[in-house]
Amino acid sequence: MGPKSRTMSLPAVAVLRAVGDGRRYGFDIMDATGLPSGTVYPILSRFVETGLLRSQWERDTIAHRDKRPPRKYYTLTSAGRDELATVLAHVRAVAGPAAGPVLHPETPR
Amino acid sequence: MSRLVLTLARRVVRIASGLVPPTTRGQWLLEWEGELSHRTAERSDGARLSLGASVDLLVRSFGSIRHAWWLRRSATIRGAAPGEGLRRNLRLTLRSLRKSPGFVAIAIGIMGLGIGANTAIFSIVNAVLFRPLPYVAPDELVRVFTTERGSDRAGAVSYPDFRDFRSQTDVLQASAISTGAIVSLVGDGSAEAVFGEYMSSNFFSVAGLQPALGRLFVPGEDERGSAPVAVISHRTWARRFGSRPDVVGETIRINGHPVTIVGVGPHGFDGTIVGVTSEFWMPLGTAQTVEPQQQASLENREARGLFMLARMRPGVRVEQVGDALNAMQDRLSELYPETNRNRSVVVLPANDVRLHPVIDAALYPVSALLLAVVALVLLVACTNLANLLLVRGTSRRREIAVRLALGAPRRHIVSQLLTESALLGVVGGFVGIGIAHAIAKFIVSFEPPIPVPVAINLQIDRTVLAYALVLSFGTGVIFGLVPALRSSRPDLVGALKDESGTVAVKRGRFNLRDLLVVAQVTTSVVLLIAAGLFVRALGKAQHINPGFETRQAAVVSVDVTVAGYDVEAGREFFRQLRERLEPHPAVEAVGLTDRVPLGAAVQTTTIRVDGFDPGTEDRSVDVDFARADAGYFEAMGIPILRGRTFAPTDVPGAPVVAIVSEAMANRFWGTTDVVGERFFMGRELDRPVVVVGVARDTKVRTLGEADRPYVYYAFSQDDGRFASIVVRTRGEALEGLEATRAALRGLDPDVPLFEAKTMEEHLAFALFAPRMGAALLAAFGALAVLLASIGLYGVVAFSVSQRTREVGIRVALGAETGHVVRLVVREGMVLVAAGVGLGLALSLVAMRPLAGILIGVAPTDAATFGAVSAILAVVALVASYLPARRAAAVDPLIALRAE
Repeated sequence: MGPKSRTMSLPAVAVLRAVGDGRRYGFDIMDATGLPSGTVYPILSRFVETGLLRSQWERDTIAHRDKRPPRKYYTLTSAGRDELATVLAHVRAVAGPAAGPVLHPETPR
Repeated sequence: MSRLVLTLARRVVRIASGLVPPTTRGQWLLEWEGELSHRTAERSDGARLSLGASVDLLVRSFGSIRHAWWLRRSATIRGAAPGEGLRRNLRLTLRSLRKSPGFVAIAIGIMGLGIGANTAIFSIVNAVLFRPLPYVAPDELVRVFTTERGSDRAGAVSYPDFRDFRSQTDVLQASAISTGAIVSLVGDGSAEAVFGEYMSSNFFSVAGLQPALGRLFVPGEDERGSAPVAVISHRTWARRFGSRPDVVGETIRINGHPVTIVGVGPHGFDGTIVGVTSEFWMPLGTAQTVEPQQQASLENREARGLFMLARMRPGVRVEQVGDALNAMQDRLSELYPETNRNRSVVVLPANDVRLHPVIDAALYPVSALLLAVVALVLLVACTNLANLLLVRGTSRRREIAVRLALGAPRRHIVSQLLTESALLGVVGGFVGIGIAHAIAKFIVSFEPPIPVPVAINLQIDRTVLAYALVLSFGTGVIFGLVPALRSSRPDLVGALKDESGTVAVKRGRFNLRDLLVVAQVTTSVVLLIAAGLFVRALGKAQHINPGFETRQAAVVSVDVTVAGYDVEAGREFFRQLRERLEPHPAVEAVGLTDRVPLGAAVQTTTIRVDGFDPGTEDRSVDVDFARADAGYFEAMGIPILRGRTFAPTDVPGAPVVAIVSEAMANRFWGTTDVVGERFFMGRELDRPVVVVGVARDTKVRTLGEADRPYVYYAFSQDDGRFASIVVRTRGEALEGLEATRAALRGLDPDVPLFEAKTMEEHLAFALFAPRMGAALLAAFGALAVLLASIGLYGVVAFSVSQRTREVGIRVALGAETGHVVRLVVREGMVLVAAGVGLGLALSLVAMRPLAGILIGVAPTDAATFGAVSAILAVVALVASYLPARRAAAVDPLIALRAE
């Protein structure tokens, strides 16, 4: 199943957008989007599966220094970057101002 | 704290990891652990994680379940979106439910009734016992009581004691007191008795409350002589003052004194006692103005009538407060042995005290009983649901078998069937919430006949909502589980052949559906017997002779002290009242007392009788008492059996006299010939009292009690502040009531009437609890029987439809209609007989704890047991006969063709 902009849910757009903005870790993405973990993580897993995101482990030295397990972080693939651009253009065109919360997830609602 | 939360969150994630496909499980766990640890380290300042951050962390950990679930599903169905499974289940369920609206309506109706009854009772219990107090940070607040050492009856505190307790500032930040007050509010020419509270001026600030309008009290308003002020409740503001914003600054007359309204209390605050609504709050300075005898009682260490509320210092535990105040109490007992010897302090979290520890202790078992009763009703409802689902599952066997044959995993089928029952449960739950409010409001509308306004805030709050939804979802899933497992049993061949039309459907004596009906009938029998016992007890109670004449008598209660009378003026007031009343043509006799038997008040006097050893250290014994005048016995219709009634010579200074009840004479002297005997009263038990008469026994506290020792002191020798006028009439009791009202109005319109009712209405108080119990249990019992009969009908009707072919053959072979009907009815009756038998056996044991509550009825009352069996037999007969008649009407040709 290839992701298509018109079938992507708003939470999915928000997650993709947050990763595009440089939010790399699951919990930070939740902070940025205000979405619960039960929504964010399945979306992340799905995007990894469909090739829009890539996941990597942070270097052991950092985790070791902070005495905790290493964290997994997500970045956009080039396919993901293209998809994000398409989706945002689409959302803007369709929803206009109503898309505010999605496009600027951190503005107070 | 933060470590605990982290541990909990990790445990949730670890449990969720069980769902993740094994190939990626290790990596998945590591990712979640990494996030949780990082978040904890980042957000905790020092070692502590704030409450908000902790909750957030925990909530996030629960998301891991959904993540794991998604991964599991996407491993089986590649590319499915999150929640797809649930959504598909819901879609399928809705589609299949839409096809059988009758089933849906019945299932939802049944669950709605069950959940509604439960939610109604729970919302009352929640409002009275569980809802946190409407104060800021109520967890930091404690209530302080003092008790006689060795006694578990918590009493309140006196003002001098309060001042000493308050000084324990190393554990207490601030302390306040409050006490109930019935005052007379003078409106358009007539006085009305209203309920309010006196409180220390800092009470609102200790509780953390803000006014809705104007101001609350300020320091200095506890001083005697300060300008009289009052804060009115938000409810009173709306009811009496039309929510006018200019009410602040207005003057009202309380007990005849002008008092300025300075503010309106916060919305939703009805006073310090849960369930009792206060109209006014007044600081102690004002209290001493409007009710001068408060001055003396605020200085009296023995006047323990104040409720103490205190806010603990941060980090202090309730036990530490208890230790500190008990240490202070020990010092007080050395300083003031006369008043403070042998006392100890009890400190309780404020949220744990609802009305008063003694009353609360009685409320918990009553609540538990009510919740148990409605739980049984729900059990019957759920059994019905399970039965309906079983029936439905059986009729869908072919459909399910086809799906299984096509390779659908069994758990898919089970989860879809569970979705169906959970959905029915939850929708039923919402219906239940809808009707719960109406039921609860109806129950609460039976106000107890006491002179204090009762209001229970029944709003469906989050606790109630959560209770109802968890209950309905939980019962939906639990009671749907067995039917779901049953219906999805892979028994392909039989199902596909559809053996439902064959003769041999029944395997064994009872199948699961039958057992469920038996369980329903059993539960209904238990409920009905409980209801029957209560109804019988009520009937008995109504015919118990209270020992006084209840017809043609009226009671009017007044408190002349709130109208500013002192002792002498009060005595003169009652003398004049008697002068006005006695010549009235409708009035036969007039009496005065401070306690009418079988009312809400309980008062006891401590006495010592020479030659009687009750086994206490100082040989003292507590006896119920009342103050009365000479006319009381005639007005009440209580004959004096020996000696005399009170006389004009019984005045202060003359020897103290008493009239005792027969039971008292027999208990202490072993005879009723006790005129001239003496006993002793007073703190040192050294003040002699001479018995001048013996009166016939009356019921004193409850109608069910054995005759209780009772002593009457002379009103003319011992003044109570509060008096009830008992008027015996020649004609209707209402005429006496009207005559008394008119006489009081004519004498002084500022004296408020607390209660004015006929003696028969007064008796309603004694009958309130049995009446309420009988009504509630009868209603819930009837509901259970209704549900059980629906269940029985359903099972018999289904069995008939399954046996259409068998019936057809029988009819074709020449069986008569009556024979077929008997066959089917017998099947239903066997089930009911089994259920009734079990229910009766169970009731023999289960009703035993009620022995103490039931008046004059044994918990194994044969009449009740018999009547309940008969009722169920009739209901069962009807519920089985209806489907039986349908079966007998079957046309054999059609029946045999039916596939």
